Amino acid sequence: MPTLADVQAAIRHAVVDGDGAAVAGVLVGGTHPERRLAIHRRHYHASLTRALVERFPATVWLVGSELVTHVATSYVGEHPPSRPCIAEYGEGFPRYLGAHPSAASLPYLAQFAELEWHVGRLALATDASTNVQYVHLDWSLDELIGFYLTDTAPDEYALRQEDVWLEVRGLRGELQLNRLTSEEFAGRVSLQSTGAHS
Amino acid sequence: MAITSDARLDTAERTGIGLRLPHIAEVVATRPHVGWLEIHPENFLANPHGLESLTDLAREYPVSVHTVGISIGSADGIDRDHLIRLRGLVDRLNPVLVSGHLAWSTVGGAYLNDLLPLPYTAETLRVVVAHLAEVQDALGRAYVIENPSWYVSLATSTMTELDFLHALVDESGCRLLCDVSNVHLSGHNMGYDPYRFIDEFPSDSVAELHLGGFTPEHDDATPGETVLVDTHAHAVAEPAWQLYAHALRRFGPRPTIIEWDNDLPPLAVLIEEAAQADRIREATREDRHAHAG
Repeated sequence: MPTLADVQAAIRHAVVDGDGAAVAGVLVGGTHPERRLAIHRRHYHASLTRALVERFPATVWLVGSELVTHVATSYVGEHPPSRPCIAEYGEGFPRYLGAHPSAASLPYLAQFAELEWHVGRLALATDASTNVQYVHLDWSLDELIGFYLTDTAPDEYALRQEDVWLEVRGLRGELQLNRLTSEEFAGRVSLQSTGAHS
Repeated sequence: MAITSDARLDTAERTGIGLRLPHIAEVVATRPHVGWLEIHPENFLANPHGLESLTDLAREYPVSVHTVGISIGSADGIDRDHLIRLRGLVDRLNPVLVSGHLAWSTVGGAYLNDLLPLPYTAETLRVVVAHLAEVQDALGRAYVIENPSWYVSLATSTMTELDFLHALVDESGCRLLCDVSNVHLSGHNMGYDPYRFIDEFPSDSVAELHLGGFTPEHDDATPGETVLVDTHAHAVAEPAWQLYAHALRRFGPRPTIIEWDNDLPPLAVLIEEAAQADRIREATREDRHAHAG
């Protein structure tokens, strides 16, 4: 008889990878029970893809849901969550998105999605001592995400390639995106790393 | 008027609702007339702002904590980091109940975001009993176990689900959460009589009841048949209400929660579902009194 660990490893392969060969012989349910396991496989992929897409609404606004959903589907198959708080799932998604062939013509996309990751996290903060993130950008993405956050997108906008030294603060749904000089940025990052907070 | 913390043990007198983040601002603002609130801690651990509002509500409503991330049946063991975070939330809310599922979700460091089936064997019983003790030690309070919903089971099982639940209660002394909708759903999907399942359920150990909606789908496993999927995306179906009435006659009144997790309706719809459960409980109470008389 397979051990509990064997059964669970086999079900993982069926749910995440679609390879149900190892578990098909021990399932009960309907005439073709392996097809019932597809309910779990569908739930795994659909629920986590939906969670990722909903976690990055500004990125969806910027490049469309089709691209984000397509890449999220791949991400979920390759990178299962490691923790049960699904709202915390997807920290690695911005880099994955930026490196995906579908996004090859969008060199700023990874930084935009990473900025959104921090914005989404900080918007829920309640502790003023941990509600700040310092982010260096190679593009004027703070302006772009500002359009989304304030629903003030112009008809046209020319994204500029430039160094942006950004301080993102959030508290109970309120957000501040403050541009800093490179010297201010380095100083505040240094202060933060030593445990002092401004 | 909402129940205050002085009436924490009276939750059986009025049905509660599962509180999800999209409803929390309205609940804070309107303080609806429901008996108690049940939350998934995994939603609030990642949302300190939402947890502030919940902490405020916990001063007025009894709150229960219903985990989806403990994975008590994992052969790999329990996620201790998650347990530590859960302990912090439990200490903050002082819930009337803490519960989770007789299932597993985590293997090889991957959390599969679902409640997956366990083989009912002596090995699984040892694992669940050991993990239950670990969870209760970590949380400093009892952890109530819910019967899950099934689409498939495992041929390697050496006992039935009911045998397993009885053995679990005998060996651990735990209390059970009977999800009546899960009994109906699993009975349909796996071909057993849900009324007999309720009749043989360890009734003295029932701490709570759940009701939730499911979605009938074409069953690819058995062409021409339907499979019921535990989506929590609909109102409670009539067969589940009838089974709930049967469960109340069998168990007596028990604290009850209406669950709705996907395609959330207006809050008023959940409150009406809770009121329907209250009406059924009153009717069955009269039945019980009539039979007793």
